[in-house]
Amino acid sequence: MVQEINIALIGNPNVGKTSLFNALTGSRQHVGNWPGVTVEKKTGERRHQGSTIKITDLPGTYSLEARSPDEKVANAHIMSGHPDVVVQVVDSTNMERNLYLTTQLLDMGQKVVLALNMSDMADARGDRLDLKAFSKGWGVPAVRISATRGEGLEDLLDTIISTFKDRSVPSPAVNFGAEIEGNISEVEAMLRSGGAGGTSPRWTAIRLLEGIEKVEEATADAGLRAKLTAALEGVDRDEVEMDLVDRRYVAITSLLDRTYVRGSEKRSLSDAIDRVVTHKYLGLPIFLTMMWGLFELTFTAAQPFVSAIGLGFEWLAAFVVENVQPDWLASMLGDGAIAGVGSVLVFLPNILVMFLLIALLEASGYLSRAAFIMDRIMTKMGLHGKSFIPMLLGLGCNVPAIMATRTIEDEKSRLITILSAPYISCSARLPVYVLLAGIFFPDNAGTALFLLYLLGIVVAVGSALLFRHTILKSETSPFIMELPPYRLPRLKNTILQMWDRGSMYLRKAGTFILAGAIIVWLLASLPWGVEYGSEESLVGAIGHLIEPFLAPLGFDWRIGVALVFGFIAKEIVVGSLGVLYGAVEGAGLEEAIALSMSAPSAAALMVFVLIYTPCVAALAAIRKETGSWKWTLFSVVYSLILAYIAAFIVYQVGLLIW
Amino acid sequence: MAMMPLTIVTEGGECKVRSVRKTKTAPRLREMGFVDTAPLKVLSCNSAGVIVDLNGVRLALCRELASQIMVSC
Repeated sequence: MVQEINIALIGNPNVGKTSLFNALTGSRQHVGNWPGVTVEKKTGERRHQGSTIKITDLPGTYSLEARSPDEKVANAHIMSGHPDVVVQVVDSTNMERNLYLTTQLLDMGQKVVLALNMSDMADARGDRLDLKAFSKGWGVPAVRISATRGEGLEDLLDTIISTFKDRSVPSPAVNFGAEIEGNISEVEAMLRSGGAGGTSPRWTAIRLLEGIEKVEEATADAGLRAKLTAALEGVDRDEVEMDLVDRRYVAITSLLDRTYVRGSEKRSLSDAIDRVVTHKYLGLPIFLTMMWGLFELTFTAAQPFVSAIGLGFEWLAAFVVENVQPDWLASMLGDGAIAGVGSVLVFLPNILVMFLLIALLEASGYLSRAAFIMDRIMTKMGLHGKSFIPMLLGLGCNVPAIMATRTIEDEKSRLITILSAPYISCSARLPVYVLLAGIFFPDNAGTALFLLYLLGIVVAVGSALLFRHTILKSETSPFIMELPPYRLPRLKNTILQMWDRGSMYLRKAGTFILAGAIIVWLLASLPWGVEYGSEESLVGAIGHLIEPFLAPLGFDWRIGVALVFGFIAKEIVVGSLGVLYGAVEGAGLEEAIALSMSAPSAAALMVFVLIYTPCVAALAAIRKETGSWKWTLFSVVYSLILAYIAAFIVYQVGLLIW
Repeated sequence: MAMMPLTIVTEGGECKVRSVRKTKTAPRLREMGFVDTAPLKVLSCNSAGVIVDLNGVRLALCRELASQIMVSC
């Protein structure tokens, strides 16, 4: 008989839930060696012994009290998703803290299976665990696995199915002592008699006693509310909360004392690295050097490939124009599609190199150290140490960056980070910089790029400071983060991750940017009979409409058009320039741009592209994460005004200097 | 056994957690393992904050949080 089993993967941050999810379902969800990689639940399937196991991967959580948005996702799923079996993924090298969550799951009456992950590392350390006695202790079956090596997975699946079939009701692991247990039973009985408390009246009773859940949230029944309020009166909630935590840890220690011996620590290498990279004086310079190295490599390592691809597309466009009939088709393919998409694809090598380096950083374990090093500076600037990780991811793409802010517990800090993160230059802006800096500042292109990234950071930080002191006034929240052991990145994972993100860029080029390029070409060719790309064409009309506004920035009508289409995706700015300037007689794109733009206006354009609204996808992410159109609109208007002012200053000052 | 805030323990110092001052973040700290008698070692201590080894887990915390944790050596 085919049956369906719903399971949820839960566990502390960075214990390998997603690695297990990927190993079980064969999917390729993003994994990394830092707490908070997964912020949304993901689902997948696995067939085993004729059963279909539906798996939900949840964001990491230390406890079920839900303090940050990503933890709330996990809690809500357990409370209302009705999983048949909860698989808690446990870091075998860190049993004590991980089992804290187990005690809460058992209080909720969940059927739990423990997947003791990274068991290979515990073995290497010389840990000894009496698995049978350990499983028996709380009546929770435990299986040793290694998700990255694919070990123990069959065993885990067997255990999930047998636990599912097991009819016995799980019992709480911790006895909180006569007094508190008495209180819990009393409140629990009230909830049960009133039909309140949802799937787990005991858990609701505990939360009521701790003062985390309010009586009004637990029930709408006035009579029951009055009874509960009376019962809770005289209970010192803080005291109960503290007592409960302590008792949970006592129960954990007692179980582990009977069944587990920890091996000797051999983490001297991680400690040695930490002594250097988190050093009082060396920490920051090391961090800055690594960031500089990231940019430097992104440009230098990719350069030969960029030139080769550029030549390839030039040849292709020329070939098409000469050999394709009729002329309009040749023009659409050559001037539109190939010029537009080609000018974007040229930068694929830069983007792949940057993604490779970010993937290496993520896998190594350095990211959470960097967050710690940056915390003090970030706090001074109105952000939070944890804001650093979204900002770094923003170098790749602003969309995951905006989503990564979910690890920030404090709502205001999170909102500030969401609103400032888009000023970090993403990979889509890179083509604009590389193209223009290469033309106008050939000798200092690297420096120009570095300055632009720096400007992005300054704008992000300045905006954060402004928001923190005006519309989002608040104190910054304190910083605490787990530092995972350093790991050597796995080559396969790193390459896959680079490729997954790189192929997104390719897909974008093949869809949005291709469509954008053809639309721009079409507008440049219509009405029929008009000279292609001339001022009489439709695109010329649009351009001339906005030209007066952009003249003070030194932008001609073509740039105006490119910027308008850049709203869809910033690569389209380059794509459109490729299409429009391709029309200038007898010159390649670069010469054409060099002829019709000056250095000050090029600099102003780069600054404008850096600051103005990132793209439709980023706006959708802002809307989703803030849950508010007001903030989304604010982000658009604010960035447009700021971009205009900044570009104006750059252009006007540039005119005086050059 | 004198109690002192975690911030004044020097690098390499080993101690035990005694209490966490009652603040908004106290429950989170306790959940993460800062409970009575938990063994703790200070790995690094500077102006940014403190890195500790708490029961085998490395945690970085800012000075503000560290000052709320009372320990005895």
